[in-house]
Amino acid sequence: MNTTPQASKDDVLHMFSAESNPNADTLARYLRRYPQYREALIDLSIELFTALKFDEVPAEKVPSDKSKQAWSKFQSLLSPTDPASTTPLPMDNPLSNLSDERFRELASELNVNRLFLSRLRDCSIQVATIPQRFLSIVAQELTVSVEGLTSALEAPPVVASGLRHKASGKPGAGDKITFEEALTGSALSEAQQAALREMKDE
Amino acid sequence: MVIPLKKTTQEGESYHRRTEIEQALSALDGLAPDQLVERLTCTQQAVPFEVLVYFLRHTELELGSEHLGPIFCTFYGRLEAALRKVVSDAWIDLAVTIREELSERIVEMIAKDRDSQEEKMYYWEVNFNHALSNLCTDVLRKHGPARETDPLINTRPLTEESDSGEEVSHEADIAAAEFINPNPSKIDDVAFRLRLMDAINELPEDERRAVGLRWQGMPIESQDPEVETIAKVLECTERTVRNRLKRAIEKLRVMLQAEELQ
Repeated sequence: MNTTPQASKDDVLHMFSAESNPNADTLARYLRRYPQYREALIDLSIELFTALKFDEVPAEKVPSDKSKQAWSKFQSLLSPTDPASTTPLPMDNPLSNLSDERFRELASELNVNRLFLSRLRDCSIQVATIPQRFLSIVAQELTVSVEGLTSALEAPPVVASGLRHKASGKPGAGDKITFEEALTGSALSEAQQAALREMKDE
Repeated sequence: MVIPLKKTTQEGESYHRRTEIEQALSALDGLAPDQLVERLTCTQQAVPFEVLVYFLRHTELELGSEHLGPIFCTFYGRLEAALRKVVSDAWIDLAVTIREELSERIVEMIAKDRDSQEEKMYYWEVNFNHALSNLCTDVLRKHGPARETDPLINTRPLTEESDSGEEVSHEADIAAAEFINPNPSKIDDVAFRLRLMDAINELPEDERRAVGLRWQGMPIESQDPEVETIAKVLECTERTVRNRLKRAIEKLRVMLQAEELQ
């Protein structure tokens, strides 16, 4: 850093603390060049001289359990966009981008009707109540990972379109129904409902 | 390219890290992530703390959890070991609590810094020892004993500051020598060093500066007008410097002995 004798106090103090060997000679040089910051430089030199030397402590060979716990804590504090974050970025909902034709086909392949599939698409069903086997089949059909699909379906429910919640007044964005409620309330045939119930996790 | 510090001088030039840190970072720049992890986690040739902080702070380096995790664990393990030595169970009550608070604060600071455009932790890449020393002092003060028991409060100056007293002559130098050139095993004792640092910080400003400068090796006086001396730097006579040193040394002795007796 090429500071002038008119450099600011902060800049001069920074430069002094970034000296590799801030001893009495270094201090004398700074005091001659920056007499206006005499007291601050003296105080900083004493602080630096008396600072503890943490680098002298040898490193441990094996990461401790505490290190691993601290890493988990650290990751949990990171923003979801951080490259080292645990939380994967929520993927776009793979059901939202389907053409009408593909949507109909998918409903047929899954042996459900379009109302049921719309509820799934609109994140109206509590993901925790959806059988893993069913999620796996949907993910496979959409060629996405189960984790990615799960993460996308955990988003708040979409209220704007489709039929839902006929019975209990206006739907709110916070409402989600269970998988069982979706089965019984989506005009699925008895056979379709039975097939889906068989997939339920034990 | 090594990411420069965002903080700049009033002329707009980036602040620099210490030369050896810049060199270490340049040597690591461009390594593949696996090689980088291998180098940073190596215990034989441990890199300075500042280097680890650099890789932990900057999201621009795009290190994913697979690579950042081992670097973090190395950093944390070394931090734990360093803090165990400084904040030892043997001489500080609540040592475990204090160490945990220190390490938690550092972890949170780094995590926040990764998500921020501000440059709050830049100094940890410049002078880690100083930055951590300051944080330790803050936390130790918070948990430290009540200051009403401070032996300094009831200490009377042994000699009034005067430019005429003969009694101060070279006694101060002899006393100072005991503190300034103590037994190497004692000065390497982190606990002793921390107590001494704390005791020096408790001294009145003029005495603290005299002792601090003497401790760094600055002469009290010199026949050579080119040489910076404590008397010149503190703008007083050499006799005043000796008086200040004498008073300071006596107080330090009282404080350190009082602590050792506890």
